Amino acid sequence: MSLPINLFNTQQTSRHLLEFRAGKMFREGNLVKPDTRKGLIYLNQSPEDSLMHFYWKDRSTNKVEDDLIIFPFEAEFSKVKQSNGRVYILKFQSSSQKLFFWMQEPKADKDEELCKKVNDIINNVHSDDKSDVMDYNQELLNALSESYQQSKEEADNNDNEAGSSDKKKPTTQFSKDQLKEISEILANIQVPETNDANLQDILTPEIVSPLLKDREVCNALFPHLPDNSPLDSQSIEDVLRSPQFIHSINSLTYALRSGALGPLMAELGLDSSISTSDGAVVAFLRAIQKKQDDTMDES
Amino acid sequence: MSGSWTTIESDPGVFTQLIKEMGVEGILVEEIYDLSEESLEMLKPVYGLIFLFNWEKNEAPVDMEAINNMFFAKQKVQNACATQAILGILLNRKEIKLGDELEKFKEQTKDLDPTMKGIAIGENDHIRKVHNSFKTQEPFESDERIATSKDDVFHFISYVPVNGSLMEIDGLKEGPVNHGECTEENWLSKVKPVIEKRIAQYQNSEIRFNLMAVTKDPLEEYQKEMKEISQKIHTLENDESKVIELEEAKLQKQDILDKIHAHEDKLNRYAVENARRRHNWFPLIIELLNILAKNGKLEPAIAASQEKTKKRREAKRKNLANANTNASSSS
Repeated sequence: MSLPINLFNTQQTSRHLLEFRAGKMFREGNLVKPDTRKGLIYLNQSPEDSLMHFYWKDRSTNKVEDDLIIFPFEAEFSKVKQSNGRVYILKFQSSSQKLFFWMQEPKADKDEELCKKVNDIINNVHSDDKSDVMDYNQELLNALSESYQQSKEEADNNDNEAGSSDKKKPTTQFSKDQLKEISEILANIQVPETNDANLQDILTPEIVSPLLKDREVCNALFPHLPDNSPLDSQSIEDVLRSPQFIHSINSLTYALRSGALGPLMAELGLDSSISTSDGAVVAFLRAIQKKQDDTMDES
Repeated sequence: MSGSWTTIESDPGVFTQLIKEMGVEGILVEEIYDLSEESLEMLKPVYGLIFLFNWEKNEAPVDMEAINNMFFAKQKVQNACATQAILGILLNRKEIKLGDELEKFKEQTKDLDPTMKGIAIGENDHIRKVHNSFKTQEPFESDERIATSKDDVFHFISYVPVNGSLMEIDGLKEGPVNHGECTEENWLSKVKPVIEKRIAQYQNSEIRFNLMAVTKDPLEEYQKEMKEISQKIHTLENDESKVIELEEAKLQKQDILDKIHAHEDKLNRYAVENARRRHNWFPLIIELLNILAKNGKLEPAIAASQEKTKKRREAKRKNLANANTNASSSS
C-alpha cells in the first residue's frame, strides 16, 4: 500500500501565540554555523497534550523539523553575547541540549522584544481552561491591535521596503470600539476540549488477544507479519508488544492529528463525512467501524 | 555526488547486521551495560568500543602524527556518525576480514587526508546503501522529524587499540586522541577509566549513554571447542579406567552446547528485531482495526482510550500547576 508523501504539507490553520522568522544553526567541530534555509520559530500550546511547544519549521517546505515540549522555567531563550550576529540560543535547565538560531526578521530592532516574548510565553503557566481561553483571547486581541497599528504606520509612511514585501498585509482596519467589541465576543467563546483516542490504548495484547483464538482472525493477520515470523497467535502477541510496532502506531496517531486524516481516509475508501469533533484518531476509527458495518449490512 | 544518509538506531542487532551487510565476516556487536572487569572479560576478544553520548565540546588534544599510520576520517556527512565509528574500528584492525568492498575502500583511501577520507565515506554507494537500509520503515514522515532534532546532539565515537596505542576516534575532531600505550591484553582496562571520566563530566541527570563492543563472533571458537571435546569423549569412552574424566568431559560438552544455543538465540533475536525495523506495519494496523470493528471491540476501546486521554491531561495539568508553584517559590 502506498501513501501520499506530502502528508504534512497541510496549511496551518490556527494562529500561533508567537511566531517570527529565524533560521537554525548547526555545529561543525567547535563552530556553530548558520543553516541557510528560511525558517520560522513559533510557540503554541498543543491541543493534544495542552503543553507548551516550541517549533521550528522550514518556510519553503512548510515541514516542522523541531517540536520541543517546554515546561515553565525549564528553558531560556537568550542572545549569544559571544557573537556579533543576531544569534540566539535555547538552553534547557534539565539537560545539556542547546539549540542555536539566527534571526531572519528583516529588521533587528524587534529582536530583543521577540526574545523577551519567547521567555514570557515559556514561563506563563496555563493552569486551567478558563485562563487558557482568556490568554488566547488576549493574544488574539494583541495581534489584532498590532496589525491595526502596523497597517496604520504603513499607511502613514507609505514606504515600500523590500524586506517587508512578504509580510501579510492586513486588509481590515479596526477602530478602538470595534476591538473592544471583538474582545467581548471572544471572551464568551469557550474552546471545546477534545479527548482524542490513542492507537496505543487500542491495539494492545489485552484487547486483541481474546480474538486470536479464532483461526480465521489469525489467518487474516499472518500475511501482514514481518518476513520469517512464525505463523501462530503467539507471534502476533509478540508483535503487539514490540517497540517497533508501538513506535509505528504512535507515529500513525501523530500523523492522523497532523493533517494525514483526509488523505488516509481517501486512500482507504473511508467515509470522510465523519465528524472530527472528538479528534482525528476517533474520527478515523469511527470511519473504519462504519465501513465494516456497511459491509456487513450488504452481505 | 553523495546522496542523503538517514539516522539509524543505536542497537547491537542493527550494528551486527550492518557490519555483515558491508561484507565483513565473523563480527558480533554486543551492548555493554556495566564497565566491570568481569563483564569486559567475558566479551573478549574485543576489537573496539562504540560510545554514544550527548555531544559536548571537548578540548582533548589530538595526535596528528598518528593519522599517517591509521584510518582516521573526519565526519563530512550528516547522520553518518554511527557508520563512521564502526569503520574507525573495522579499518584499524588488521585481523578483521573486511571483504571485497571495504578492502577496496581501505586501499583506495589509504593516502588521503582525514577530510578527503570523510568525503570518500559519503561518496561510497555500497556503504551508504547498507547504512540507509536500516532506516525504520515509516510511511509517515513524523519519525524523521523526531530523529532530526535528536541527531543534532547525539554523537558516536570509537575506542580502538592501534599500533600499540589506545586511540579515540571522533570524526568531529581534527585527529585521533591518543590515550597512551596499551597492549591487546590490557587495552580494555585502560579504556575503562577514560570512559568513566567522560561520563562523570555530565550531570547526574544525564543518563543517555550507550556503549557497544565490536567483538569477534565466538561461534568459530565454540565449534572448535565442541570438536575437541567430542574427540576427547570418544577416546575416554574406550577406556574403562577413565570413568570420572568421561563424566567431566560430558559436562564440559553440555556447557559448550548451552553457549552455542545462547548464541543462536541472540542472533535469532537480532534477526527478528531487524525484520521488525524494516517492516511496513501499516497493512497490519488496518487489518487489526478492521477485525476489532467486525467483532464489536472497537467502540468500547475508543471510549476507554478517550477516558484515558482525559485522565492523562488532568494529571499533566496538575504537574504543570505544581511546577509553577515550585518555580515561583524558589525564585
